[in-house]
Amino acid sequence: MIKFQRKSVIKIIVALVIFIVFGVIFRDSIIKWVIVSTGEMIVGAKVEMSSLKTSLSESSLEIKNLQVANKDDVMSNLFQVSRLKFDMRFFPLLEKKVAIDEMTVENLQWGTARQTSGALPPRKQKKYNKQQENEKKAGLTDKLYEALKAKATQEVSALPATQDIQNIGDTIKNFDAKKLVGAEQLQSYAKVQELSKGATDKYNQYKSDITNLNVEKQVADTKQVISEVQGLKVSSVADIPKVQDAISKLNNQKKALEDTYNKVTGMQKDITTQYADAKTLASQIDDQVKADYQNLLAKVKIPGLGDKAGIAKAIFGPMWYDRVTTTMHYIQLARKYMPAKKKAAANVTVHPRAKGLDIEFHKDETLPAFSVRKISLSGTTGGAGKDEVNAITVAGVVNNLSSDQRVWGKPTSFDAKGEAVGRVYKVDGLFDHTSDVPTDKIDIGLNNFPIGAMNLGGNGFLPKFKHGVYDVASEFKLTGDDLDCQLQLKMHDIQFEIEQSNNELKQILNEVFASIQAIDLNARIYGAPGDLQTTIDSNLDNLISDKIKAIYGRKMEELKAQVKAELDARIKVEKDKLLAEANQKKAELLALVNGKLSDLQGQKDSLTKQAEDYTKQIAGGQAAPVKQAEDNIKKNASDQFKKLFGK
Amino acid sequence: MFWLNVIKQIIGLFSGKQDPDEIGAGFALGSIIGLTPFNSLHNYVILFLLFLLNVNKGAAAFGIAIFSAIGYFTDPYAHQLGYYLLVNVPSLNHFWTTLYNMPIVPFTHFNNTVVLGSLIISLVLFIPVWLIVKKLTILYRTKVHDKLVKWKIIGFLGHTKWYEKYKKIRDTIND
Repeated sequence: MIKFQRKSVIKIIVALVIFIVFGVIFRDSIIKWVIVSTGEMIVGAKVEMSSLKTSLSESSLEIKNLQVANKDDVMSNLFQVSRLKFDMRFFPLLEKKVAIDEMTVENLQWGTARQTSGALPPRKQKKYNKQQENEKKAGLTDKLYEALKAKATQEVSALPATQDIQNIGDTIKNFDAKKLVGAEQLQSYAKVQELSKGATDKYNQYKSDITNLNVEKQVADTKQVISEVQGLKVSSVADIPKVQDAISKLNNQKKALEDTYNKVTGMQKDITTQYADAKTLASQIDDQVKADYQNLLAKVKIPGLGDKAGIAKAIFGPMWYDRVTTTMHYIQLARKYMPAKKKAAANVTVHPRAKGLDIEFHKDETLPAFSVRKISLSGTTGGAGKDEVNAITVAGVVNNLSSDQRVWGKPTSFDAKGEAVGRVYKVDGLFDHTSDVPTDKIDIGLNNFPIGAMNLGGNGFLPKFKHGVYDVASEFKLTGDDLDCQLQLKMHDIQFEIEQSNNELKQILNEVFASIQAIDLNARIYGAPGDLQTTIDSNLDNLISDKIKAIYGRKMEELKAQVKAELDARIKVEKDKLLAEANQKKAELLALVNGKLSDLQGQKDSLTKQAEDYTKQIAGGQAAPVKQAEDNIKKNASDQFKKLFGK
Repeated sequence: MFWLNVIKQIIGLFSGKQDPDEIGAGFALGSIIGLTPFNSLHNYVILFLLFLLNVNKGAAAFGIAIFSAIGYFTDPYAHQLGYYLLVNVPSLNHFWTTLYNMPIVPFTHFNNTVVLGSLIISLVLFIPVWLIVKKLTILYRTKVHDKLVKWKIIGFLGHTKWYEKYKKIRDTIND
């Protein structure tokens, strides 16, 4: 028979009282433990606080010096808060609902340095990893997050500009004009050899031609002819035919001599005008040198700069992807802890759990499981390990934070702003999970911020900024699974810390960066996780590519000059040798020809003189009898006239 | 003391001194805890009942152990039943909504498909389990116990240290 045991009632009441008293006394430690454990499983790093106090009468909770470490950089905090206070409503707790009317967050700082590591102990880390593995199988937001990380890795590792500039630098660095010219089969060298052979051949031809004319024999023959006809005298008319015959011989010999003389004169003319003309030879060699130079230039061609957008992508890509990935991480967290729940019925929300499904039944104007009507926060962009001098105090509010926005009826919005000495920091956003398609939007604006605070390192391109300020307007939007993030960055009054270097490429880049004073950047990444599109456009592309092209153009001219000098040096020796030899041969030929001409001329003159002499003699021999006959006729005629007229 | 008492009661199940009704009721209550996910408010209520009523705690412990194993296989069916009742029966919607928005009740996790399904199954099985265990206890004592004692293996076990200890506790209970 089942009976009620009265003794047990007392025991249970005592146990309950002990349990409640224990709970009340140690409630702060218990809640602290719960918050730390849960927090660590959410962020994957240490969550620490100096104290946690609850007040039952005020139903409030106060946390002091909360530090949440960054799992990706365990020596820094994701954020830290000096004081955190919740004013909760008691009765919703009985309905398993946490309803916070107002939450105060004081002195919020992010990215601050830690003195000790924020890594989880191995056991907790293992638990966290296991939990992450289970959650990875989940939503599309995770896929987007992974796609973003993959895209960033893929694009930044394959930057054409990096390779282009490196290639150009390598080409310049490794350039050796001597090696290049030495390795080339120079056409100009071959031309010199060819011209040299031609000059020698022609020289030999001229010599042969001169020999074949046999000028010596003709001179000897002439001398023979002269000696043969020498000594003739026209004493009477009877001598004339003999002398006339001698004249004829002399004339014939003279004619033969003149033929030879003309030939030698022609040769002289040829040699003077056509043989081994220095100007012609030099011109022919120079033409070939030019051809060789063009061939060599084709081999020293500096690789061009390909995709100009690659430069901005190389410099700003990592920063941009990092910003987008970080922001998406926060949106992912927002979607995880404030999921857009689908309605199964008018007042029913279904969401899956590891074991079964939790079905929520909402009345009108009911509270979701967790809600914060308003969070007032104040903080600073500075903090340990950050730029304290330029830090800005930021204040803002978060409205309508809830675990179920459909029940709560309002999306979560936030707005924070900070201003200090002309610098403005503004962030606002909206996590709208009230409908089936969630929309998350975060806008961040910064004005007049010192450029040193901007992390652009890691790409090896940009030197450190010495001075400069920047303005940023960025929008990160995720509608459903469609991402659309845009960034407008304006950097001005830029001055770089140029480090002197012996590296040629560095020197070139230093020169480029020294001339840059302002940079504009427009970046966008959009699309679904499987089809993300990116555009990164900046004036830096044109600035750098134009500048690099100009500098490399100059370098190119230097390289060309080196090639020309080396080529000229190599050909000059051969060219000078050829011209000297040719001149010598020409002089030899001309001397030879002139000698021959002189000999011929001498014989010609002798023949002419002899012939003229004989011609005069003939003329003298023929005139004396005629004059005597004329005188006789004249005398006879006079005598006849005198006789006739009697005088 | 509590756990010693539970051990004593488990041994007492076979002693013949314990009321089969108490054994059946304890086992049936244990079956509810075993069949439903433990961290639900109704299970704490059952635990209180176990202490408030003179049911056999050992049988309850047995019930929890056995039905926890059975629950592993019945959870998918419990989920289907729970989902049907919570989502697909519009007439119950108002009832669930009222319950869900009442203080304390949500801590029962009744709105979880597996919790509700398995609770319904265990409640349906409560009386049959009670009666079946009661009958089996009587049957064991009248027909099986004497035959079992004659088994060689039981004779062998009767000479072990553990049996000596068991016998000692049993005799204490019987005295």
